[in-house]
Amino acid sequence: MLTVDQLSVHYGPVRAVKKVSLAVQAGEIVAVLGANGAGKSSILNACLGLAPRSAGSITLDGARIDKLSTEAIVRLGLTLVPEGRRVFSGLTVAQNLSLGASAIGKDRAVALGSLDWIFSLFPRLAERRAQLAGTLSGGEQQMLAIGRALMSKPRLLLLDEPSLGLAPNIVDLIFDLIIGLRKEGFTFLLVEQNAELALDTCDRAYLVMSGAVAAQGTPDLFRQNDLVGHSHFAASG
Amino acid sequence: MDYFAQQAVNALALGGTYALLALGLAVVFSILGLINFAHGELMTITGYGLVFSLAAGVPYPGALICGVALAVFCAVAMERVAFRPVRRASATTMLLTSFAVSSILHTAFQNFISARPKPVPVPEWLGGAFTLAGIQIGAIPSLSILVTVVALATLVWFFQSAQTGLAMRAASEDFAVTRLMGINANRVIAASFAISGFLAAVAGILWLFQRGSVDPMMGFVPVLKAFIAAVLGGLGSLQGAVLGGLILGATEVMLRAYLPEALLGFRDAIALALIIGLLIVFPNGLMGRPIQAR
Ligand SMILES: Nc1ncnc2c1ncn2[C@@H]1O[C@H](COP(=O)(O)OP(=O)(O)OP(=O)(O)O)[C@@H](O)[C@H]1O
Ligand SMILES: [Mg+2]
Repeated sequence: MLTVDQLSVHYGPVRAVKKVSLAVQAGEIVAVLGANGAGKSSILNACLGLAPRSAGSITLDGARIDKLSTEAIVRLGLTLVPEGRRVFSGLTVAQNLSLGASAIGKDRAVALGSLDWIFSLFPRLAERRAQLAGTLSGGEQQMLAIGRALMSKPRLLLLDEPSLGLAPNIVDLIFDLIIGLRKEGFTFLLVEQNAELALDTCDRAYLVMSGAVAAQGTPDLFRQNDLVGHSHFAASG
Repeated sequence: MDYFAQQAVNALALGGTYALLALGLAVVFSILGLINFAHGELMTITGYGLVFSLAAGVPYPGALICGVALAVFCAVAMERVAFRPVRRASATTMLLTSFAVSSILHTAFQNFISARPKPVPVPEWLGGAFTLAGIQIGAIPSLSILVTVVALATLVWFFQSAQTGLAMRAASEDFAVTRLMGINANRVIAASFAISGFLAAVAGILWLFQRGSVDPMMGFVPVLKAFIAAVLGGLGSLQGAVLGGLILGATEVMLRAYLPEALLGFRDAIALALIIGLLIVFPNGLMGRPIQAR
């Protein structure tokens, strides 16, 4: 579904991503693991045209997307929940969600019942629909960030550190949701520092070190070879 | 007492006009980080649009619409031609670009239209006044207040409820994530220029009614005042721009009305000193967010 081939990302003279190749098949959950500064976010951002790609190609369903604008990519059904949630803090929960439907248009979102669907996934957002997003708790903001991205019913969702800074029960809720949505046909590429959690959830994983892919394979392969331990991950993340 | 009430009406009228102008600057600044010093030229363009449509025989209401439409068109064109190529450049580059646009337009007005003021016919009833609760109130200040209130109410609705308005507020918070919503960045920016052009046009018409003529430099002083108002309110804050405009207008009118004769010449200096005093107490402006280290 998504193919990243020989991708490099430069920030000025700094090369953050070096010839990374990875692929995500429809219906999969794929994880990207790696230490701080390894280049994980840069890879996801480059897929959405938000990080400067200096070489390589990115294709979605066989068509090149690396020269498209961010908004054009999102309209193709690929979206990103960015690191650090980044909800629109001055807007209400309902207004954030309504903007999330922009990619497919408000009418189509109404026809698809997007809002009711999000509120059924996250009842806490329904209770707080008139509240300013900036006043939500961290966990609620992450729910809103995911809900906002789901409003346009994307086929492939990139999640950048969805567990960052959240209480264990909220993390469980979000990962249960990811597994549930996969059964409904959604595809996920997720970046996680909590390697144990990611390996419990994903079908395949990539390990990124200093901007390059150092290992890839099934969660079992990662555990047997203690790949994650080698790159200095604690089980607790 | 009557004198004070009359001055209060004048204060609201002038403050409202400044508020509209400052709001036009703030709408663009909040999204692009650009202070558009060519904003004043949009007022001037409205004036010429009005004058030339009237000369071409367009009836007055139609000529007003032509003036506004021309300013909106020029605002959007300005973004497309001058600001879009430097959108990713530094704030200083964008600021210099806006100075360049402003002086190119000045020169064009001087060479292709006229360096001298062109009279703007003002409807006769605007010269009048009426009496409300024993107070004589001029038609122009009343109209200014009415127009300001309607324009502000429309904008409040737009930014609270219209999808484009929400997208503009979102873009002012986090442009990249706004694009992740599938919202077209160029369209949001064009919309912000269209709105700022509209506000400049409305303020320009009110300004013209006061002065009765349009000349190439007409926009210079008001845009400077609007800039001061926007800084006072907190650059980028829309409510702040309105508040700053009202305070600046009120300060100017009240100083003119109550300063002793000997001090009248220092009116602007005193007004600016008061505003600097306020800025010392509120360094980010009255409603501005603290500026983050970038
Ligand atoms: N906008 C930027 N400008 C300059 N350098 C950047 C920028 N974004 C990231 N970098 C650099 O690129 C490298 C990779 O950063 P990236 O954010 O992709 O890492 P990451 O794996 O997501 O890290 P983390 O786990 O801390 O989120 C880092 O060295 C970082 O300093
Ligand atoms: Mg990251």
